[in-house]
Amino acid sequence: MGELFDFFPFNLPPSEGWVFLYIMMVFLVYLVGRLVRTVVQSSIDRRHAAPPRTPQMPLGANPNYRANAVPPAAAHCRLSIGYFPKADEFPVIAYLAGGPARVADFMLAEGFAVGVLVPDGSGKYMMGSARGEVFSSRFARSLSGAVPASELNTAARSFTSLVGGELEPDLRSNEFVYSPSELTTLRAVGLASIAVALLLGIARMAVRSHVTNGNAPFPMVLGFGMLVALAVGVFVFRTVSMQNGKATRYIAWLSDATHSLRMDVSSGRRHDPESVVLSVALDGAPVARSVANIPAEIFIAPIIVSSSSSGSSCSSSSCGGGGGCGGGGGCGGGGGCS
Amino acid sequence: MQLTRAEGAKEAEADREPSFEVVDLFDGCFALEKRSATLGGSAPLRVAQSCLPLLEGNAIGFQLVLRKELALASRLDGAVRVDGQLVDDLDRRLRGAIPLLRAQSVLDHEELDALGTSVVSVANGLRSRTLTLFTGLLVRPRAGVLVRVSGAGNRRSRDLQVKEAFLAHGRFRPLRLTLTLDKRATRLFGEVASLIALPEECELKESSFDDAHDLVDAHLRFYDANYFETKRAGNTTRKYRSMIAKEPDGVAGAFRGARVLNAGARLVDIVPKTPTEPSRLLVRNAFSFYSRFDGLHLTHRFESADLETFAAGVRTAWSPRFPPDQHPGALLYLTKYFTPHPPGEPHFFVKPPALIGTPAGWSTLLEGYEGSDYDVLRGVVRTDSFHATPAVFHLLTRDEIRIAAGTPLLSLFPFPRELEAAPFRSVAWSERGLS
Repeated sequence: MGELFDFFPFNLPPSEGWVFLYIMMVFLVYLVGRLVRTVVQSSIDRRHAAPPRTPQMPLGANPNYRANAVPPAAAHCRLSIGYFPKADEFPVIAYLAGGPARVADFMLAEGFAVGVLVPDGSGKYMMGSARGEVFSSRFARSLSGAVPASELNTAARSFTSLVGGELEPDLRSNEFVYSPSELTTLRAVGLASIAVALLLGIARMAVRSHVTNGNAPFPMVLGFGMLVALAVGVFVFRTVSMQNGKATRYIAWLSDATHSLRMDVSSGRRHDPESVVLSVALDGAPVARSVANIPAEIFIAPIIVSSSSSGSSCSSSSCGGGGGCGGGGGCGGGGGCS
Repeated sequence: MQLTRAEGAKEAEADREPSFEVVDLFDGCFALEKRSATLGGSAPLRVAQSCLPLLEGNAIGFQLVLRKELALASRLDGAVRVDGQLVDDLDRRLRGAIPLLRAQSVLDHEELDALGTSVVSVANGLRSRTLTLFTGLLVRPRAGVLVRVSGAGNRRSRDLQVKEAFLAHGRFRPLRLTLTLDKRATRLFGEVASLIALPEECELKESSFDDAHDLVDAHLRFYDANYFETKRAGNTTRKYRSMIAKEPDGVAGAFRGARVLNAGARLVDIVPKTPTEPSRLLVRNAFSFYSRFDGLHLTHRFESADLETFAAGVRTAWSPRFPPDQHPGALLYLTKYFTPHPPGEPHFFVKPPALIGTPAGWSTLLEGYEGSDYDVLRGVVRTDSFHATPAVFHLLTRDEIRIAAGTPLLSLFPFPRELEAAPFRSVAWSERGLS
């Protein structure tokens, strides 16, 4: 290796100052690594960008005046841009918008909005008598009697981490998460960048030894610099979001499409449960503060010391460890246009 | 059971077939409103009392009203830009709406792509600034109807000019305005454009004195001795008002359109239909003249030979058909070309020596052209009863204006009066799309 890299700047005489050159080289390597990962990510996201789906009975197909002014019962594509989501899609939306914590908030908001959770009159909360099965029904049944607000919040977060995996089929079938092979590719770019950074340091050590015939002492400063480069590399490339660009685009569109709905909910002009819980799914708990039957205190999460990773990474809860989420079947797969 | 007057009016309104349908994507940011004939009291008293064509011109169609202020700012290089929270908000609504429209196939893909990602785009030229503005309204005229989009007419901001456009029956079409902005414009707000329903098919044909006896006779009957006696006494005749108070005899036959008799200099031309525009009659100025309003009087300057040539042409055309016992005013009305308004009004009108005839129940929209320092006003004439179509000037400056020979003054669009009274129908839109 000493001969392989026997060129400038690797063959400079031994000097502690070389570490500054090394730092610059590592900076460039990581910068290029991030760029490459972004390009690869964009390329994968483009593959997931399905063409717009069209329902079977288009509104405008019949141009005759008033013959078809009101659209027929439109076909619905689950979790697709252009199709207003149905209530059973809201938990996935909450997950995409804010991860497991948002799902917990959504579940609490939904519970109170539809009457699955109710106050017991003594400052505690318990299962209500509302009929019909919604996402929060199982959580309400899991409560052992009336619980105070802080416990309710803790219980909701624990429950979400337990059942979060149930969202996986929807995430997979709608291709909102990267497949294991795509994740491996993205992680490999990061690992390769770190490897190149370390290789540069090793090459310098080898050339340095070669040009001094092994008489120079071990380059402690460069060794320390390599450790720092390793730590920085791990930090820079530590996470790859499980959610892909399709998920980001879907949430961005839904946020735009429900802009006035969410403004109405946050200002108290809309109170219907569907609007409220969709707003909480997209914006989180604060949007529900003006809704009368949802107590604000239930959203105040107690401080919990946890070892699980945060953010929206799948590894924390919903998708189960390192298994990730496999590729999906698109519209025709698990979700599909009904 | 007897209906009260208000209930009767409501029922009549409900019975009328809407002339077009509208989807509002922007939650009322742009609204279509009916304007009062007197412009909410700002029309001159004399007009409000007697000038029915102008009153009808004020009220015709629907005004497109921008309810929130759109701020315009000039950059250092003089280019205009649009900024503010409103545009961000509307852009967001647009981004949310486009996929819903696509999924529901409400608009053509080409239309959707053309909407882009922003409601406003500005093209800064060397001399003009053009702003394209999507109003968030989708419009679909009913079968047989065109919707004409144009400036706001007799009450409008002089800081902007709206490019005329027509929306045809078929699928919904996005209502986009192309505006030319004055460099002094600092905002867009209020009435910015008009939407007027017109017939999709309108036959226009040239007539001669031989096949337009009815138009000639009606003209001579209207401008009789009594009319001029009353005028000479300084009174308004209200003859037009009383004449149209009853609908004319007869019913509209198969002919749907207008006949034009150029009875003198040929100032009214038929502009044939194009793929994007309906046919129309175009009225041009007879000869070059200058006008100035000093705050009290209007004075005109022109070559007297030009007026004499013009008048001679009218006299030549009419002389074989002009009854000897007819009051000469009927011809004088056409030969003197200019008619002043009372002192203090910055208005006058010029009269092309042409008669326009339409079937029973049809009127003609007189859409004036806008000059830099003057407007030719919008009016509606019941051309099934009265056949002259004067161009009423409104001067906006104390500087002298020049109107060259051949300058377009009016576009004439005949239409059945049923369209004038027709409402539009709102189609509900929400974040779920059309419902």
